[in-house]
Amino acid sequence: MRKSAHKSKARPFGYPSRAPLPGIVLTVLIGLAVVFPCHPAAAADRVTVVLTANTHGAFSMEPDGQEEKGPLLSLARSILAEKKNGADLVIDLGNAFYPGALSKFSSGSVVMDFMDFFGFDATLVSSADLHIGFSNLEFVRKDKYTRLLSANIVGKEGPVFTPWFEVDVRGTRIAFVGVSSASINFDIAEKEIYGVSLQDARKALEAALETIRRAGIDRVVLLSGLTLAETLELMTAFPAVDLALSGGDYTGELFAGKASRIDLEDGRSVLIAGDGADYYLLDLVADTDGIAVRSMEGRKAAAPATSDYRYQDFKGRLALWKTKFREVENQRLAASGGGDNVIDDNRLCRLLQDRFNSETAIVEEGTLRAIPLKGDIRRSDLLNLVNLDYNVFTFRLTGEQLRAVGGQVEGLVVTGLERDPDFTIQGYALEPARTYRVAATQTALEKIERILGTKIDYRNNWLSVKDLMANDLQDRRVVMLPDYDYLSRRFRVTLDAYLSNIIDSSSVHRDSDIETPVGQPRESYSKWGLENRIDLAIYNKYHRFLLTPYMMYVRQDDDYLHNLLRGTLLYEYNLSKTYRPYNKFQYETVVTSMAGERPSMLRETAGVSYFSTYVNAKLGLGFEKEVQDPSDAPSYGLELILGFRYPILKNLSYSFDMDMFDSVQSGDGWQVRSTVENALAIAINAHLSFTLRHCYFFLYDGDLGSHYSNSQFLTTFDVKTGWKLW
Amino acid sequence: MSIPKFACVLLPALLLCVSCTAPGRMDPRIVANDRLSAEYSQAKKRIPLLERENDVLKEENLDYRRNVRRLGVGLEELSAGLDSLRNQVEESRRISEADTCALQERLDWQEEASAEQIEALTASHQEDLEKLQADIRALNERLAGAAADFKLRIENISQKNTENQHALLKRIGELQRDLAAREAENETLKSAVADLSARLDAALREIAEISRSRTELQQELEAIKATEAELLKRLNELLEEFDKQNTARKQVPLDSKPQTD
Repeated sequence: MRKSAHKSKARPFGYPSRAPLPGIVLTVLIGLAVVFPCHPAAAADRVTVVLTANTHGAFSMEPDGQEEKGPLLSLARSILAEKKNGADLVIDLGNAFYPGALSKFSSGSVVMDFMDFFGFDATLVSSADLHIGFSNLEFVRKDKYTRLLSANIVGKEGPVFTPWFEVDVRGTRIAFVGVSSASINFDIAEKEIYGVSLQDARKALEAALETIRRAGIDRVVLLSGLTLAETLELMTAFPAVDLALSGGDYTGELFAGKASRIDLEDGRSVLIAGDGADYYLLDLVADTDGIAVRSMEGRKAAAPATSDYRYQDFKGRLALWKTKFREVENQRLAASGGGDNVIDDNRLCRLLQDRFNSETAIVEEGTLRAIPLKGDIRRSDLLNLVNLDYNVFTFRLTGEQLRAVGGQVEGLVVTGLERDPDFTIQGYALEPARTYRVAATQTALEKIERILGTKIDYRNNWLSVKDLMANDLQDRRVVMLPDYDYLSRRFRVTLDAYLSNIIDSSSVHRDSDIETPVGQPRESYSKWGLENRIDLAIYNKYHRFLLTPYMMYVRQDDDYLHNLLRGTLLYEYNLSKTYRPYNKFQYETVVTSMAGERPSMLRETAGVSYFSTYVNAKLGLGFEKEVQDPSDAPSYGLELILGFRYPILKNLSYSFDMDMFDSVQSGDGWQVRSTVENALAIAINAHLSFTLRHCYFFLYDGDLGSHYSNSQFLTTFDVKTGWKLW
Repeated sequence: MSIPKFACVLLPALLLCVSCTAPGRMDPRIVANDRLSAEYSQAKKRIPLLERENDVLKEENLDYRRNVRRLGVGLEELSAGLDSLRNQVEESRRISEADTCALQERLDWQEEASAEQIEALTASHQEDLEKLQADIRALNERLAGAAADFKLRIENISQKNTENQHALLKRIGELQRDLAAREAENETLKSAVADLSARLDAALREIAEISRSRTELQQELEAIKATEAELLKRLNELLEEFDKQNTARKQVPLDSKPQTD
């Protein structure tokens, strides 16, 4: 057999080629070949392939006894033995670089050396491999014998890794083409700089097969990290693929069991390298009809010690890497404080909340490996701990978006967002239109974008999980705190503004002898008004202060229709989600004085608030007092405030508000003051709406036995907006 | 337009503009900075790889250099040893050549001396040979005489031996005949013993049969005795009964009317 790709390499496995056979031996061999010719078809097309997958860069960390304890050195000895026994190819099906601590430490260099020294022909780039970093993989593969294989990882100018390679079996040329799994993630910086992305597998394979066809290659083997369904779909779409080898990101999960081989109706097969063996020995027969599978045998790596020079040299280099690892990673970051410390995804989320002052934090499950840490915490522990080392992003999500994310948290770890049974943050129900501060890792952000089906405007903090953890362990050690309730006690500030405007200006020009046409104004007039409210809320999990300046000012020419200026300060103790005690101060006066007077009234009440999905209410006791123009004695009474909001459609909502205060007057008569408002609002967008309102004001004075009422229909154009200041 | 009226229009417009632009928008400076940050991030990731790989390769290189140096020192030592060996070989060769010449001269001289000695020795040897041949002839003659005497003695012994052999063979024939007669007698005795043994077996069987018959007869006799005893007992009972009845008949009162039959 001759591998055409090998011809292009100056030195197989990074070593000089062996010395040529002495002439006499060669002559004897040729003579034997003439006397005992091999059967032309029996051995010519046999291909023996050694398959590995998911080796995870699992080198032992101690230089002493590494031959006995190191699973990869055992594998190396077995591979050398298999090659000695006639194996033609060694192929890795992915996830070879991650998450082994030494591999991470060396940015994949030691694994690349491993594959290069022991003659791996190719490795399929899989999702875990990219955690090493695309640019690092690009760097370590330079001048190496082993190819990094992927047809569907593309940059600005096509595939960035080797899409396929060729093997020649006595005239039968076989192409091995690699397709990486869809679960691959790229670092945001890599996307930014290299424009690297994952192309649709079908398109990528189509392009690769076209170049293979043009090269005149007879047979094609697909190395796939895709799921079985996706691989079968590709095989169905491309009959040119004779055989598929799956592994790496797919380990044979099929319904509730595991599969190792699937045969198609036309005789083609999908072979799956699962987790049941250290490596697989694949025996194939390639001829003009296709590629037939003779056997696939899972084996344990148990070859004895060898004096092979490649093995000895690699062992030496590995020991140097281990020594370097201990030098660098032995640095103490923090003391564990006795006992086992388990730093998991949940604690990482808490750190994100703390560090970025976010109300909720989201990371992908398995970002940290929850391994117990004993004694001093060192850099090497951190290296083992952090599994998905991506940057941290901060962004804002509306309550509606957070609810959607909270409903699909599978594979995500979320803190700060509680479900009780509706979603709450810091003890308050999610408000659909309110924005909330979120901190998340890159993979979590991408998952959130997939859930919401939209791109999110984010801020990249250019701080990776590992850096963040290292800083924290050296400083405040938030990840090791016993209690995170302080995060809920952080005060937040929101500012909401509601502005409604009325402008109606009429200019009438008429002669004195003409009658007013039906339906037209008799005289010019100018009517305008505004209803403005600002809610400034300062709150945490237990307390909420709400300051609400309110102005209702409508006038027509010189007549006031409304002239109200009100300030309210409300305090609520967040006893439960439903019931909260409150204390309210309300001061009312006029916007512009009337006849030189500025009547003012104060109301203070204390009671209980009630909250539910659509209804909120307040029932309290207190007093009202006219403090100016004229000043009067306080009258004590009962306050009832009722609010009901119901979204009829997405942009159409109905609301009902009532504010009533019944008090006993000085003359033992009752006074009832109430405002009732019904409104139907049509939202144009998040900030603009039209509202049709009916306002009814009623006042009954028991001492006088008289009443006042005002009924009013208003059509207003409203602007409403909100900010989260802190 | 009055200030409140102006505010009535301006304030919402301003608020709308601010609200539409402020939240959720990325700062343009951040966007511009992102590229630099991305490159910095990538460089930060690459630097440890470069530094560490460089350190490892440097260390490996140093190891190789140390090995090369060690091998160089070894090579020098070997070269020095080789030179010394070469000198020694040369010296040995020179000494060997000198020795060879001296030996050759000595050999030549010895050859001459030995040739003379050989001649003398050859002459002496010839004399010794002739003397020896004469001795051999005398010895041969003495040997021939002794052989003739020995032959005669052997013949006598052979004759005696033949006679003894004939006597022995005759004795053996007699003994064999005697043995055959004894064997025949033995066979006869054996058949007699077998006959007696058969007869003894028959007698034993007969005795056993007789013994069994006797046992049966004894059993029968025991049975008859038992029957006889039973009968005797019964007879005694009947006799007692009869006596009782007779006694009763005799004690009938005298005044009683005799029954009429």
